[in-house]
Amino acid sequence: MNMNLRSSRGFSLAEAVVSVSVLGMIWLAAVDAMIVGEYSASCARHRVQAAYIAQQAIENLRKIPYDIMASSGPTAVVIDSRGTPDNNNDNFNGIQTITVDAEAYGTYYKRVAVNIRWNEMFFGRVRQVSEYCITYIANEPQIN
Amino acid sequence: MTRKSAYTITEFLLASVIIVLLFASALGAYIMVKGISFNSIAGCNLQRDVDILLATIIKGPVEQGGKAFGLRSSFAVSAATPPPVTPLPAWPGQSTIYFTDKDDNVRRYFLNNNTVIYDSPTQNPNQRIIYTAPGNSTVIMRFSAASADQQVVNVYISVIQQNANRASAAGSVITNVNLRNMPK
Repeated sequence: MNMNLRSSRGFSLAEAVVSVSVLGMIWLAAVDAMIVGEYSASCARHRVQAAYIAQQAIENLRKIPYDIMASSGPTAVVIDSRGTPDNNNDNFNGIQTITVDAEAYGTYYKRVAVNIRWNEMFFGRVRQVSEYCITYIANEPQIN
Repeated sequence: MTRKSAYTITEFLLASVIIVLLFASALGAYIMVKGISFNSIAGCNLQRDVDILLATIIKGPVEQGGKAFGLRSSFAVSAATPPPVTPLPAWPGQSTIYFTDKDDNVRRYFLNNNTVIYDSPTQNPNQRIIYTAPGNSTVIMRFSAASADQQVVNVYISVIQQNANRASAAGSVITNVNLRNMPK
């Protein structure tokens, strides 16, 4: 009889606190998963953009004479994170290093490695990300 | 007995406020989630679009007969026909590029509102849409010279899309294309 009366009054404070806490934890976990998902998608997009910037450096190297092709950097590069070429405030600033290795590949090929590093920022989190592109440039203008 | 028959006005007002707050927070969370997921999903799709568009511009769309003429295989580019009389401008460039390929025909890529069009005298019809941006989006396409002799072309492509809640997503690429001067 007493049990029935007590349960008809509603939840106790402890029950309410526990249920709100459980819901809060589930909500926080869901928000965190969403943020991590968006962070990963954003990071993947910027990696693709960085790969094209590396390709830009490689194309510039193909243009110069084979004999004077040499390592360079670090130099500053920007990743246009929001697709706005005339607004530099939303860019990610990165560092590009080009390494040209001729010794191990004989007279006819040079190994070119382009490394781009930048700080990926999202919801106050900062993480350094690096994209690395390697190619070989032959000593023959027509097949470059 | 009184407690079981109805709420007091204070309890009713309190309950109403709590319900409104709950709905407002749920709506806010929904809009936030929608914005974040839009940025992720639409952003990846737009990035894929600009990657494919750039590859198409470099290699050239396949024409009747199976041949493709693109920036990579061309030997001269220009800001206006006939090349190479009018040089490409320096950055920020322009949204049309003329290029002469190994068959000596002048072709061009140009931006018309939110579509990118390939114009070639050797295909019928001459103009073909090679990319149409999704709704509520803005396309920026710029070509400029990356070397004094016009043999390296800088290409910038960006597509920015907005949804109804003003969340935006973008895909963009910037790179250089070295003309290969393919033998005729």
